[in-house]
Amino acid sequence: MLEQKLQPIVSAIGAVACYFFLIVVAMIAYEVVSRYFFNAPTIWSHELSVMLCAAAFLLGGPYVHQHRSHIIISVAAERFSPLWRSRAQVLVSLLTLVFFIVLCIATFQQAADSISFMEQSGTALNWPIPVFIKTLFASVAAFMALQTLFHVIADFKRL
Amino acid sequence: MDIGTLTALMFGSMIVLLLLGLPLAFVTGLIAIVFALVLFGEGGLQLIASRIYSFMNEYVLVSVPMFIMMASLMERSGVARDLFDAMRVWAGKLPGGLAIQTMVAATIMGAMTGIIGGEIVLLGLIALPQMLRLGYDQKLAIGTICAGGSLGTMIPPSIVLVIYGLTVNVPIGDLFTANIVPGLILSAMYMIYIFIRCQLDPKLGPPAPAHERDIALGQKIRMLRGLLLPMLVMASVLGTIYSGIASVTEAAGMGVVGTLIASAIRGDLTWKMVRQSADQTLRACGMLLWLSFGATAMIGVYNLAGGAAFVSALMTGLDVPPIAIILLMMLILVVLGCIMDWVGICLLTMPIFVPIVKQLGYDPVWFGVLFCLNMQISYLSPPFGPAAFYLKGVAPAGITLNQIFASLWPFILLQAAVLLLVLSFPQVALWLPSLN
Repeated sequence: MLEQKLQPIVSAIGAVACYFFLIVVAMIAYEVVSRYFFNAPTIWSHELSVMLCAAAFLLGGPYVHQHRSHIIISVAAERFSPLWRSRAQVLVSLLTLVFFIVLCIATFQQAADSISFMEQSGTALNWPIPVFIKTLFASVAAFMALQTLFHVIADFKRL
Repeated sequence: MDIGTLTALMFGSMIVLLLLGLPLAFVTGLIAIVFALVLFGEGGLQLIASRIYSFMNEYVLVSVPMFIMMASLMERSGVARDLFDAMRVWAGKLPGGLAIQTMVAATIMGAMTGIIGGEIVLLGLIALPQMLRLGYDQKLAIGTICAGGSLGTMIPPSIVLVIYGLTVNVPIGDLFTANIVPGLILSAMYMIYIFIRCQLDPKLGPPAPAHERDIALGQKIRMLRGLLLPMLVMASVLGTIYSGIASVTEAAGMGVVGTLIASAIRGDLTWKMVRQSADQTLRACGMLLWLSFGATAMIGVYNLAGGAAFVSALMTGLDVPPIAIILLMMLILVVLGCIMDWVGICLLTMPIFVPIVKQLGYDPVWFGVLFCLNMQISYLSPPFGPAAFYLKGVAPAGITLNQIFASLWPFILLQAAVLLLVLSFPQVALWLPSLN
């Protein structure tokens, strides 16, 4: 199956992104303790927590999409005949593909703008976090477009 | 295109695409993109991309994975199971006693978690078999678990309130405080309902046989130690918020730390469990956040086209008292709750509703409580009732989804009653935050 080809990449994404949340827990604990007990707040905890979570939220997309587990309302489609159900599935995948292709265009433009002037966060830390997140957004959109393309092919074969 | 036609087109295509089986996240995203291109050309796409980008950069949003991970860890450790066992032994001879004790345990768990799902799965695995074994009425047992488990987002902390506060810019701490009394009233109503039903017909909830009830008082009191660790977790979250030590986000992070410590004290903390919880959190966030991206993009496009002003004019133009407009909003939320996930509903309707609510002179904190109660109904109402699906996943074979939904309507009526109570008497929600 073509769809399965992406599985190792998705598994790797999941394995890495999971740790982002654990790192955030550690950073929050460090921040609270050092601020409350030692009166020494950090300048990085807040911003890096947001960055890591945003990255994990984005990477969670392909992780869920691989097994097509995004929330659907199946009451109507379940009543279709098997033939019409597979036809509806092709249409669903094609519409999803349209969404991701356009999302790619939008996010690539956004990332290119951000990279062109090395956009920084404009805070005390002032790292180029926006460049990182916007580039990641575009990459994730492109990857999900590819996943969807494979879904479309698989759905056509099932017709 | 005039805004009335646009509204009809957007809403109509949303329903059609949903029924076709397109995931909610892509339905809203696709509609956002198509309408942005048609209405604003290529600039519209930039609007969508930057709106999604700024949405995920909210610090408050960090609390969402923290609350999910907390619940996920709790589900895997024995902390919640000990809590249920500590409560269970006090059921005694009282008809329906076990169901009432299950509700007590569910309420305490509600104060430890901010999501639904984990709690229903857990109670479905430990409390449902116990009740069925004693010969409880199946409908009563199922209803107790689905309604009790849904309290996770009603008793603070609650990610429903986090997303609501984020969407409409209301302090989340105030929302949490305001939800305490209505949440406890809801839970008390469930218990009273179970008590009355079982008094009228004791066969619905037979007590445990005498030899099982025969536990020495000392033993029962020793089992209350099962309450200590949950209290530690609650203190680490709610304590840090109300004492002002930490923001809601940090409190959620401390909740994860508290749960890890509680599990370590109990002696069942393993690396595998932490890893699995993080994995489950990633999955849940992938679904929740991508759904939010689509919804926030769609409502952004709609409002830029003048949607909020249009709905506002439509609603305030009605020749009815303000409270009728609030009732109408509640009705719309109930209907949407049958077909949509709470996060989609929140992001799609609240940017339109809450400005109207404020314009009418009502408190957005009060409206947040009403929204939260309304989403309790949405968890149980068919055809898209997440609570029923969660229970179906772990219920004994032979219990169908239809049987589960058929068990839930008395509890939906109780939720509606509490909703009307808070609607008629806003001080039920608002007096606690006003003490500050």
